Formats: sequence, structure tokens, C-alpha cells
Amino acid sequence: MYEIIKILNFILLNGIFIFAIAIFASYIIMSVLSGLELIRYKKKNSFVDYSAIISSPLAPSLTILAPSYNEGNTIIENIRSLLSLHYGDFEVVIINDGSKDDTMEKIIRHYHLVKVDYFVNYTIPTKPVRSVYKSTNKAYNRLTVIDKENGGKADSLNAGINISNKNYVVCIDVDCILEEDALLKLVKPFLEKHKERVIATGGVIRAVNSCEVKDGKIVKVNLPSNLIARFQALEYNRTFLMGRVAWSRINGLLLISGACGVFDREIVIKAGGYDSKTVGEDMELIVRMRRYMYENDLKCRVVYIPDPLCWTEVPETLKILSRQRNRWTRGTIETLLKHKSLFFNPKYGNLGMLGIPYWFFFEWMAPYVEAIGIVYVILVIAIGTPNWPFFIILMGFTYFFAIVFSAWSIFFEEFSFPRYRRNRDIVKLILISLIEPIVYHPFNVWFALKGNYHYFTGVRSWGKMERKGFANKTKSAK
Amino acid sequence: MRIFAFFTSFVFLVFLQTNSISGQETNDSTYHIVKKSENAYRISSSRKIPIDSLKLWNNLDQNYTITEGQILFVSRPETEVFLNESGLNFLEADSIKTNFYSPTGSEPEESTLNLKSREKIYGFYTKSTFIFKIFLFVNLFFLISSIALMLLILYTRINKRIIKNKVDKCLDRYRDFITGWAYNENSEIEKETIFSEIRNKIKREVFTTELLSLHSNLSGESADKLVDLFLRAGLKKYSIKKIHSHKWNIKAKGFRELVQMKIYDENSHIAEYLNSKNDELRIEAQLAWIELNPDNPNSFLDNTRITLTDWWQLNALISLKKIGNIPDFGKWIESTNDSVAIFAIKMIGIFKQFESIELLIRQLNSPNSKIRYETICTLGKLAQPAPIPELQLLFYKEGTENKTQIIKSLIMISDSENAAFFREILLNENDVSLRILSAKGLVSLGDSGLETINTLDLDADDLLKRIIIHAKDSRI
Repeated sequence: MYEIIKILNFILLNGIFIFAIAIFASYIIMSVLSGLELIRYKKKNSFVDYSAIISSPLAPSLTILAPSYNEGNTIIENIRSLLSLHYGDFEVVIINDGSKDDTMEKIIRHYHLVKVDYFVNYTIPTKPVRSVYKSTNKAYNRLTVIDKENGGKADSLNAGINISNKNYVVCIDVDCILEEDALLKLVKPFLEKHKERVIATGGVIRAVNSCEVKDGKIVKVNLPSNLIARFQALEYNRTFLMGRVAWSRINGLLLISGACGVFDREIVIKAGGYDSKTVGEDMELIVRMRRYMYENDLKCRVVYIPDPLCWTEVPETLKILSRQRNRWTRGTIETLLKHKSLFFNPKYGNLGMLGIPYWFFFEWMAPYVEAIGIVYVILVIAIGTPNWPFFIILMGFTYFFAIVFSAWSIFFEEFSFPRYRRNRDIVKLILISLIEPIVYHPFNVWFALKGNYHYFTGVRSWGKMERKGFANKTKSAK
Repeated sequence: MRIFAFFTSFVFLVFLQTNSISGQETNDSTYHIVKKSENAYRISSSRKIPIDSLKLWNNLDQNYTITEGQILFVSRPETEVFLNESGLNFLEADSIKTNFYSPTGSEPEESTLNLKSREKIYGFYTKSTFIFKIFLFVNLFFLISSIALMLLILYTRINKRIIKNKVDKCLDRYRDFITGWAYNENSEIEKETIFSEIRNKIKREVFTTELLSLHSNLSGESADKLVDLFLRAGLKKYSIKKIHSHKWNIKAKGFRELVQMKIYDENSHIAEYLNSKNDELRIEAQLAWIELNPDNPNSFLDNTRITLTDWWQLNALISLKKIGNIPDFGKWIESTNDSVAIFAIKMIGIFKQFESIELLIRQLNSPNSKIRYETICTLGKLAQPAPIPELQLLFYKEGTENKTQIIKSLIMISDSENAAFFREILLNENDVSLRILSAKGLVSLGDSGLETINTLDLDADDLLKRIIIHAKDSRI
């Protein structure tokens, strides 16, 4: 046994030490980068007038694509809220993905829809479209509804992309709540860059749980009262403000959450649209779009906006959270394996040298490292003689680093776009950050490991399960 | 982002340290701490190692003298290998520097070996405590900084709230005062109080922002009154101060204020930034330039080499509409700066400058496909029949995107001359979306087009039939 530990020691001394230093350094670099980006964004926004975009004939046109599956209870409200967004030239396409409930009937009745003789051009192959509806009421001119056979979220979005004939497509979860000026903010980066083509933009997603919502708008922002949701509120804050923003700054962003993102329709089609076979279609699409741009020697950029633009309901029970994280993990694995030729491939610039390796090591492998670590700790306690003072001091080190990191992200939030009005919400958020590493984090590791297990034991025909997840409102907001 | 992935990785380090330095513990198999009443023979037999090895590894004297508490190697020191082959080379480097003094001056070879192994242990040991010290310090640092951050968060919150309360308190009063000013309703005392109040920076900002936002909703005499108020309140000097600030965002804000209040004094200063390297600042300066030089708003377009972004163009259009003096964009249509040419082409379409149509037709041969695209769009917007033959001819040379736009433009021009062309594409083109578009084009031509399409429908295949049905449905 002692020999095993010695051999492990040898491997780990080299590997894990570098791993630890790399991950530690990357977090510090990221927090610095996102800090700089936030300052820049805030300065820029101190004088920008977004309303200029609404009325301008030079603004690009948008199609909002909202796939819906068994959302009969909320669909009418959701469509209304989408139609009331602030933008000039846009249309709303709702895709009914073969719902088994009364979603379709409800929309037809409420919005006075009639079938039109639409000739669907399957530029991207999808499941058959049964029919396309438009409203007889001129007030709902912008609305188009597609009724198609069930094929999953990615398939629905592809059907919508086929129908759209605007410059950009906005892909959202139908039950998300977008800020009124979200589209304006998401479109602006497309207009600003000229040296490189902006192919996609996304914004910060936040938990809507416990917030007061009226007529499809957030009227009062509260911290979720449910503990699991509250942990996620903190987690999202950190992921988006510290992670995505920094990746966007170095142009290495690999993921725009499926909950809310704007894509250049032309590039999406050229890259082949969403992959309906993977459960991580949002990440896979960005990787493929970037890959397409690199392979055709076109400069591209994926921009992340540090503004909270989209509010989504996060899981409130461990069961649903488990299913969501499980899916994210499998999505990550599928994407990384599908694009494994990019791994440390200098031809793909930041994508190949930074983005993909980062995701491989620190997203896919991290739970393994943690799991092995825990096993190792138990092993050593059972056999060897742990150096307790050192153990405690290093645990303290990681713990405090985590706390500082969370505190930074809360500070960024407060500094940039404070939304919580009550002081006690912030105090609660700080308090929860103190117990997160011990209470919430282990669950995440467990769910991720389960996802790995499911992936490798071949539980891949999860179309059904995936649908269920979608129906249960587990969001793709990695 | 798995924030705590490194958690366990550090746990690893803990145990790496542990195993290598656990010589402090007696039951370890690498080291042995001599207990009371132990002697070298006993140790060698209990550890099952030859006494000579013990002597060699630990540099003992002829009598194998050991003392209580002494640390003995009871196996060949393997830490050496560990250290050398590990990534932790700095440990070794440091241990060499340590001038270890061997108390027993025995033979050279033996002592070198002993010295080396002792150095290892000693170096590693001190190093470990050094790392320990570092981590202790870092821990403390993190603890303090997390507390500091949390206090900072609370402080910013409270501070923001105080400012907000302050602002809210005076905001309503200022709004009333400013609207009152526009309609001559303010008393002299009120004026004096507010003018003296806005010497405070925060209050001045509130006042200025409110004044500007009210101004942008007014026009004519009352708007002029607000400009008058701006000048009388002495706010001009602060706007000028802003554009001389070293922070670019403050500068940009200053530009906006000058533009809105139509203060022309600082044009020369703005001109310095027309070619600034800072994208945002340059755009703001150029936009300000357009509005502050109504006679010749786009003069800098003549020789700018910088690409005009879509965002710039969008804002420039708004500024141009505001000043109302639209220059003839034909003169920039052949600019060597492609983005200037594109901007000019777009503006010709928006301001319907029909006199430039000949220039536009010439641009259809531009080598830049983006310029051709914009020209096609603009020709559609102008809706003149003149370019129809050129557009139809161009169709066969273009890529899908420009092809699509050509059909769209031809539909906008709406001339029966196109019927044959649309029919041709509907029948012979491979791209279905282009066929759909041309079918729509035929329908848009009215009776003559419908007639053509109905004749086609008679002996159409399934695909064509569905395209025709689609095109005829006016609800789509």
C-alpha cells in the first residue's frame, strides 16, 4: 500500500502541482481581466444612448426564436412579453416542438392564428414542420408560430433559423424574462467591430426565483429564498461576471448560454446550425462557428455583455439540479470529444490553445481531480500519517481563496449593475458564500461525476430524458 | 466555472508534504527518532537493516553512538529521487545553498554522501516550514482581504444609498425649476438658491442631467430657454472642463453636452480627437463635429483613413437628421476608404438623392462585394427603373447574398420589365430561397405577374407548385 502511495505521490507531485498552480493562476488572471472589462464597459455606457438603435433604418433586423415544449401554462404571457421588447425591426418565431399539452391550441386561440401556405426550405435539416401560423390580428404582425414534430431544443431552433430571413437570430428559452433593452445591448457589439466579425453575443443571466414579476417584467429583484437557488444565484454571479466576461475580453469565449444569445444567422447556417444530437447544443454551436471562421481564415469574435439581460428560473430541488448539471457535463464532454482535433492546435488560435484546453482540464477533468483527491485523503488517513497542521493550513488557503473570489464577484456586481435593493440580500449573499464550498460544492462534483458515468456507460439516447428536463424548466445557463 | 476545482488539488499537496516529512513521527519507515533507552543495535534489528547501513546512512561514529531524539535514516533516503524528478526543483536548489556542517569529520567520500543526504533532509525540512510559513501568511492575507472586501461591498452600498437619497431629494425640485424656467415661472429667490446649490458637484450633475434630458424632449422657444438657463447657471464652464479631462469617458460626456447646448467655442479642441486612437472617443468627437459644424458637417470624411463602424454610421445618421443640412453624398461615393463609400451609398438611399444614380450604377462594378451589396440595396430604395438591366446582368455574377438582395431590390423597383427575369429564375435557379423570392417578385407585379405565375402553375412539378402557393399567400 505504501508503494502505491509513493507512486501516486510521484505522479501527483508533478501533475497536480502544475494543475493547482495553473487553475489558481487562471482564476486570478480572470478576475483581473473581468475587472478591467467591467470598468471599460461601465465607462462606455456612461454616455451611450441605446435608443438610437430602435428607430434607425441602419439597425440590423432580428428574429427571436423561442422553442416551446409543454409550456401551456405560461406560453401566452411569455409571447406577450417577447412582443413588447424594445426594438425596431424584429419578428418573434415561436416553435412548438410537438408539445403534448394544449400549448398550440392556446396560442392559436389567444393570438388568432391561422395556417398559412408556408413553403419551408430545410436549409438545415430538421424534423418535419407540420404547419406555420400567422395571426389575423395586425397587432400581432411580428408573430410567427411553427408547429413541428418533436425533435428537441436544437432541432426546434434549427427550424426557426430556416424560417427566419433577418440578419441575426436571438435564441432564447421561452420562459426567460428579457430586460426591455436587452436586444439593443446585445446588438450593439455587432455594429461596433469592423476588424473582426462578431458572430455571437450573450449577456449575464440571473436567477428570477423569488423576484416579483408583473406582466412579463421584473418589478422587484430579490435574492432567491430557496437555499439551492440562492447558491446558484451566487454561482451564476461568479461564473458570468468573473468567467465569461474575462473570456470575452481575450476572445476565447466558448459558450453563450442557450437561455439568451444572439447569433449571426449567415454564419450559423454556414457552420451547419445546431447539432440536435448533443445535449450541449449551445456550447457546441459556438465552437463550430468559431471553427468555421478559423478554417476559412476569417477573424471572428464572440462578445459577452456584463449587463444582466436575461432572468431565468433556476432549479430549486436537488433532483432537478442534478439532472441539469448532469446534462451540462455530458454536453461538455460531447463537445470536447467532437472537436478534439482542436485540442492544443495552434491553427485555431485562442480557441485551440486556450479555450478548449481550459474546458478540458478545468471543467471536464476538475471533478475527477477532486474525486481522486478525496479518495486519496481517505487512503492516507487510513495508512499514513497526515501532517495535520499542513493539511489545515492548505485547506484554509483554498477555502479563503474561494471566499475572496466570491466576495470579488459580489463586489463586481455591486460596482457594476447592482440589482438587489435590500441590504440584507447582500448580507445573505455574503453569508452564503461562506458555506458554499462546504455545503453546495460537493453536490456539484457529484452531479458532474454522475454525468461522466452516464456518458461513458452509454446512456446517450437521452433525447427523451432531455425533453423531460426541458419540460421541467431546467435551464441551459451554464 | 468550477471555482473549487483547485480545492482538492491543494489537498494533494498537503499529503505530498506529509509523506515526505513525516520523519517526525516515530512509526514511519523512512526515519526513526531515537527514544530513551534505545541503541543502534536494537534499532537495526527491529527495523531489519544491517547496522553498517545504519552507520553509513546516518554518519555514525565507530561506537554507533546515538542520542535520544536524534533522527535516523532507516532506509536509503529516497526523498532525493523525489525531489529531483519532481517539479519542485527549487527545493533542491535551496538545500544546496544551505551550508550544512558535518560534525564528524570522517573520510571524504563517505562524508560527501552523508552530507548530501543530510542536506536533503535538512533542506527539505526547513523548506517545508518555509512553505508552511508562506501559506500561513497567504491565509491571513486572504482572510483579511475577504473581510475587507465584504466591508467594502457594504460601504459602497451604503454610500450609494446616501447619494441616491440626496439626489432624490433635489431631483424633483430641479425638475420643477427647469420646466418652470422654460415657461418663465420661477421666482428670483428660487433661482438664487438653486444656482448656489449646484456648486456642489453631485447636485450639479443631477441638475445638468435633468436639464439635458428635458431639453431633448423640447423644441423651439422653450428649448432655447433651457440653453439660456444652462449658460446662466454657469454650467458651460464645467462642460468645457469635462472635455479637457484626462478621462476619455468624461470627455465624451462633455462633447455630448456641448453638442446639445450648441456651444461652438471648443470646436478646435474637438478637432484634435477626430482621429483619436480610442474608438469610442473618436466616434464621439466625430459625431460632435457633425452637429457643431452644420455648414460643412462631414468635412473629415474627405481624408479619414479610419473605418467607419456601423455604430458610427447609425449615430451619424441621427446627427445629420438633427442638423437638417444634408450634403450631397455623391462626392464620397468613390472614396478610397471603403467604409466612407458604403456610408455615402447608404445615405443616398436614405435621403433619396436621385441625382447620384449614375454614380451608383458605376459602383455595381466595384471589386468590393460589400460595396456592391450596399449599392444594390440603395438602388432598390431609390426605386428607379434605370438600373434594372445592370442589376439583372449582375445577378449571374454574384454570390448568394448579393443575388438575394438583387431580387429584393428589383421587387422594390417594381417594374413589369422584371417579369421575364423573375420567371427565368423561378424556373431555372437551383437555390430554393431565390426561387421563392422571385415567385414573390412575380406576385408583387400585380395582374401581369399573377398571370405569368398562373400559367406556370398549370404544368408545374410539386416543388414549384408549393413555391407558388407560398408566394401567393399574402399573410406571410
